[in-house]
Amino acid sequence: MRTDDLIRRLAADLPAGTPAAGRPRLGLGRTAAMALVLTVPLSALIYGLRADLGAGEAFGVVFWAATAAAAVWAASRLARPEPAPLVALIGPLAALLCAVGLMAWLGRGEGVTVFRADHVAHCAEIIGLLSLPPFLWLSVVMRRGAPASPRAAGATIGLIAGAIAALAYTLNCPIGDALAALSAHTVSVLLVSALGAVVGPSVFSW
Amino acid sequence: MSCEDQTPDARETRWSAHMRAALGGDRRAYAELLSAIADRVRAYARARVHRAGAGAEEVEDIVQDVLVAVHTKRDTWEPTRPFGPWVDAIIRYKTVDALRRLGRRQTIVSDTLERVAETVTAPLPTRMAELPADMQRHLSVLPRRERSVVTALGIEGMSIAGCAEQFGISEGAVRVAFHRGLARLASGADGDGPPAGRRSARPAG
Repeated sequence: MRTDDLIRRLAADLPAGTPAAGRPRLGLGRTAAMALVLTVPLSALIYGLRADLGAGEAFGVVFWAATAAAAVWAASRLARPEPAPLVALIGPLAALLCAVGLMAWLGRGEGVTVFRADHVAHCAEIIGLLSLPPFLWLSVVMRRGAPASPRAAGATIGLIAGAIAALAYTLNCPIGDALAALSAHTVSVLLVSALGAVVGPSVFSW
Repeated sequence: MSCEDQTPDARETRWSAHMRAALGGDRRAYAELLSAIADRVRAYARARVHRAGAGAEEVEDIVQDVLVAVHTKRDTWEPTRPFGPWVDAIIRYKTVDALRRLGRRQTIVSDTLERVAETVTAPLPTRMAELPADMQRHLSVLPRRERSVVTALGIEGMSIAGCAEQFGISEGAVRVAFHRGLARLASGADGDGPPAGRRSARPAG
């Protein structure tokens, strides 16, 4: 097809439209919020709620809510084609890795064994499963975007989905020590994010 | 719309206004904007595509890819942000993608050519064991002397004199064994496969 013909067809395909100012945004934040609202009761329904929820779990909820919010900001930025600032690419993941280091350091000071393999295996399985529906839902939204870096977009979508799942599962996780639970959840979320980075180029290329 | 005579700021203002109008449903402004973007893509992609060893057709493919991407991803432009960096990012993404595909295609072509060259320049098989299985099967029905002579003359390219010396027979006997062998192969090829019944019809040697 000649380019002039293509331009005529594309122009003819343009809908009547809405005023530029009133156009809807991509909606990653709205989707993440709805996914959270659905995942918490889903997790409670399947795994139940801990009877002894305390300050440790409250900290976990705040921690994962903040992680998800930072990742939503990064994903909204990465969904546009313009070069994203470095902080959007590596900020949330770097913050999470710093948190992992901090937990290891705190755990050593308090004599708690963090990053136990059995804890990680248990939580990774459940958080992986719980993060799947939010991951798929958010992926559908991200595919409407135009990420210049599909791999970073995938990692960030994985981070949001993992953080939502971790927040929901924090209310149930049977691991007694809050620090040990948080560290196991962090590794699980990083695994979901890594999976997102792996599938990103195939899912989010455009 | 001509873009070459505009400063970047003037172009930004004009393109942003056209895109806003387009999002509001102004098809004429949209067509003008797409034409201007097409010119910009050609200017950007031409040198890069030529460096990659491709021609004007590939440049036009990139132009069309970019125009379709601008159309399908137009909602990712936020009207409060500048239009130039947005469209430039799409141009860059699609050009890099096209050059990557072009590179892969050229790799496939050069690999195929290499394989063909290897096949053409490969030495012919010189021993019975190196021959294709079906040829070995056909030759195996010949008596040993005829098989040796046919292989030496017809496949290894040996001379009649060299063959006579190697097998310790006269040159006349080499010719006779060669012609008999060929005749036997021909009669086998006329039927369904090698004449298995003749394998033991004549003592080897």
